[in-house]
Amino acid sequence: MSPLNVFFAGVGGQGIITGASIIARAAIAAGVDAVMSEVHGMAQRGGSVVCELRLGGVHSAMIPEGEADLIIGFEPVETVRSLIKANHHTVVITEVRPIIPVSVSLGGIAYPAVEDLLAYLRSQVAAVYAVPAAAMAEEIGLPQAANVVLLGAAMGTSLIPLELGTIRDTLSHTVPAKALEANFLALQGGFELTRKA
Amino acid sequence: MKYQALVDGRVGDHELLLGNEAAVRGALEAGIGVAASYPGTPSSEIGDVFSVVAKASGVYFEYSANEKVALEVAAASAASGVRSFTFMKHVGLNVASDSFMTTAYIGTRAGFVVLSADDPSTHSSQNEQDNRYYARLANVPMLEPSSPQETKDYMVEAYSISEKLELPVMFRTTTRVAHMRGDVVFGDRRPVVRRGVFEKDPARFVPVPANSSKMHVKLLGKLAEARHLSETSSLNRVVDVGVGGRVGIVTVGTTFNYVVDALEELGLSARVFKIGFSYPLPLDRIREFAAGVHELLVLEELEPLMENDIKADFLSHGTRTPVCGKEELLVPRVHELNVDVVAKALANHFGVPLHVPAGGKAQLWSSPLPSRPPVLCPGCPHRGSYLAVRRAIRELGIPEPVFASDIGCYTLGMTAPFSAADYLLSMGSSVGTAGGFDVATDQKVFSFIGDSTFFHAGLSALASAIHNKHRFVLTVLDNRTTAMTGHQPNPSMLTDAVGDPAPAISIEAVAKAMGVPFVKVINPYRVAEATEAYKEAAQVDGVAVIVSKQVCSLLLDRAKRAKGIWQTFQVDRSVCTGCLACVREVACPAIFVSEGKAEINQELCDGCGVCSQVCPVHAIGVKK
Ligand code: SF4
Ligand code: SF4
Repeated sequence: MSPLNVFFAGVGGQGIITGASIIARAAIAAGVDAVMSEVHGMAQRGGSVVCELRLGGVHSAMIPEGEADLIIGFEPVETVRSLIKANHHTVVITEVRPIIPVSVSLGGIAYPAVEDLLAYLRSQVAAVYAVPAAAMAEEIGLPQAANVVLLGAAMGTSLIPLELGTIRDTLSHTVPAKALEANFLALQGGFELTRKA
Repeated sequence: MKYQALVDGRVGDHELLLGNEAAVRGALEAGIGVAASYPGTPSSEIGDVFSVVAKASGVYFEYSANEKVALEVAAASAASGVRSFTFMKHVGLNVASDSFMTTAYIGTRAGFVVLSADDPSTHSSQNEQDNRYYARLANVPMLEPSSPQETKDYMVEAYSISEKLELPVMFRTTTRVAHMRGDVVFGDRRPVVRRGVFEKDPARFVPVPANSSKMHVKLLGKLAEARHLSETSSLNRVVDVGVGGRVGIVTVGTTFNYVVDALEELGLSARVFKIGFSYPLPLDRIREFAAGVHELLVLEELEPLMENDIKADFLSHGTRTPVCGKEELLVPRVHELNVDVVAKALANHFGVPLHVPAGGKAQLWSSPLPSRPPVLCPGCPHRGSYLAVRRAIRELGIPEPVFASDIGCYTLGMTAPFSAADYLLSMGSSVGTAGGFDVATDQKVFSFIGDSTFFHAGLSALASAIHNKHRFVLTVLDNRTTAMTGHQPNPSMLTDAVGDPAPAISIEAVAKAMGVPFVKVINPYRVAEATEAYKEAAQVDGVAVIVSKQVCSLLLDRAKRAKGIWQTFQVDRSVCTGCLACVREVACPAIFVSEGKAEINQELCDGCGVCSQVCPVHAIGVKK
C-alpha cells in the first residue's frame, strides 16, 4: 500500500508526541506498519515542534515535501507553517486558538488574524476542519486533553485506517486511569465534530 | 512500571520503540551489567530509560559527572569482565576522547560499547561534527543502524564483535535514528553478569611508554581482524530496489532509508549496498559489488568518509567503475539529508523528472510568519537571574559588559531583552572564557553556568580562575536538575540516577572551600534582592560566585499540580497603563499584548510573580 502520511505541528509542550504515538501504537496493535519521527531537546522549550507519522511500508520516518495526507495542527500559525508538507489533496485539522510567540509581543512580525489563516488554508488544501480543541478540553475539565480532541477529529475524517475502538484501547493503556473518562470524552468530542462536518 | 516490556519482553515479542529505547533493549539482550552516561540530546532518552529499568533488570546505572568519567566507569567495568555500555551525544565524545583513545590501545575483556549520538543539522547542539572520524582516529570498529529494530539488533552484535576483538566498539546513531519510532521485535535476554574480577596485567592495562608502543602495533593487528569481520558481516548487505538495477549505491545509517524511498518515489531500479558495519569498510566486497554495476554512487550525511575510502581503494586496485559522491551528485557536506534532497540528487543525476504529489504542492503563506524559536519557559527562574543582572548593570552604569555563557536552557537568554550570551564554546566554557575576557579586556565579565554543567566541567575551570586571580561574576543557575535534556539528576542532588538517596554536594560550600572571596545564594524570583546581590558581586576584585537557586519551573509545576496548589497572575486592565515594561523586561511567553495593554495567558502562566515585581503601577497580581 502507498503510505498514509500524517504530519503534526504545534508548540513545544502541547502533547504532540503523545498524540502521535497513540495513533502509532494503535496502528501497530491493528497490524498496520508505523514509523514516526519525533523532536526532542531544545525545540521542546516553547518552540515550533513537529512530529511525523507514516503508516504502511516506508523506510524514512520523515514525510517528503508536499506528501502529507493529513496535517494535524495544534496552533494556527504552526498549521500554516506546515503547508510545506501539503498538496492540494491534503486534509487539514487545526486548532483555532493562537499561542502568541514572544517574538510578536516584543514587536516582531504581527500575528495574522486567525480567520485569514483559515481562509488561506482553505484556498490551498482539499478540506480544513477548524477545531476549538483547547476550549473543548477545558469544558471537559482536562485542558491537557486538547491533543486527544484533535486525535478524535483526525479519526472523524476516516482517513486513518483504524477503528476508533482501537484508539480507545490504546488510550486506556497510555493515560492514567483517573483521566481516562475525560480523555474518552475528548476523543468522542473531536470525532463527532469532523464526522458530522 | 513504564518500559516494563523492555525488561520482561520475550523473544518474538514486539513493541513500538524510539531508537534510543531500542538501544536499551539491545544492551539488555546483550546482558550488560554496567551502564554510565552524561545526558545529552539526541542520546538522553537512553539514560531516561535506564533510570527506570536498571534496577528491575539487574543492571548498575549511573549518571557520571561528565562523559569522560562515564566512559572510564564503563571501561574499567568491562576490563573486569562485565559487559558495559556508555552513551553520549557527539560532543560528549570530545570530552571523553582522552580516555577513549587509550581504551583502544589497552583493549577490553568483556564487551564494551561506546555509543555516540550525532546531531547533523544541529537540532540541539553547538556543532554538527561527524563522529565517524573518531572510529578512524582511535582505530576501533564502528556500527551504524538505520532504524529502531537495527539499533536493537546491532547492539547485541556490537558486544560480540567487541569480545571477539577485545576492543571497544563505537556505535554511532544520528538524531533521526535515535528519535525514530518503529516496531521492534525482541530477541532473548542473555543473563546479566553484574560483577567480575579484575585480573591484573600491567603489560596490557598500563600504557607507560614501554608498553604503549607495542600496544599500537597490536591495535593495528586487531583492526585488520576487524576488517575481516566487516567483510563477512551480515550487517553489510545488498538490497535490490526494483529489478535489474545497473547502478550501485553504497549508503549507511538513516541515509539508507532516504535512498530506498527516493528510488521508489522516482521509479528507479538500483542495487543498494547497505553498510551497517561501517568501519573498517568491507572494501573487498564493495569492489566486487562495483564490478557488477555501471557506476557506483556513495550517499552519506556530512563528511565524504566512505566515499574517500572507496575512491582511494579503487584507485589502488585499478577498479574502473566510476564513483560518484558528494561533489558529483551535488549532495551537501553540511546538514542532514532527507528523501527530498536524495531524490533531487538522483533525479538530477539520472535525468528523470521529480515526483509531483497528487494535485500539486500547496503554496506557502506569502509573507513571513511570526517566528517561534525555543524560549525560556513561563516561570523559568533564569529569567529572574538575567533580569537582576541587567538591572544591576544599568544601575551601576557598567559599560559594555561581556556575557560568557554555557550549555543549557539558559543559553536561550541569548535573545532580547536579556542578550545574556555573548560567547559560548562547550560544556563548562563559561568559566575559562570569562577569565580570558578578563585578562584580555577592561570589560566587566558576567558568566553563567548551570548546576549540572558546573560539576561537568566548571569545577577545575573555577580552581584555575581563582588561582590565576581572574575577576568576574560567575552565576551558577542552580535549578536543581539537568533541565535541557529532560531533568536528569546531578551531583548537587539528593537522589541518584536510579532514584536512590545520594550525598548532595553543595555548590556554595564548594565555592567557599575553593577560596572564592564572595559567595552568595539568591532566589531569582525576588528581583530586588537579587539585583542588590549582583551590585555587590560586580564590585568584587576576584571571582564572585552567585548561586541562583530555584527549582526548574517545569519540575515545580509538576509538584504544584500534584499537590493541587496552583496560582496564576493576571493584569488589572483598569490599572495597566500599557507601558509594556513587563513585556520588554521579562519577555515571558505567558504575557502578550492585547489592545495596547498587557495580558496574561492563564494556561501558560506558572505564577512565578516576576512580572508583578517589574510593573511600575502594580497592575499585575495573583488571580483571585
Ligand atoms: S508593566 Fe504593568 S502597566 Fe506596564 S504594560 Fe505591563 S502590566 Fe501594564
Ligand atoms: S507570573 Fe508573570 S512572569 Fe511569571 S509565569 Fe506568570 S506571566 Fe510569566
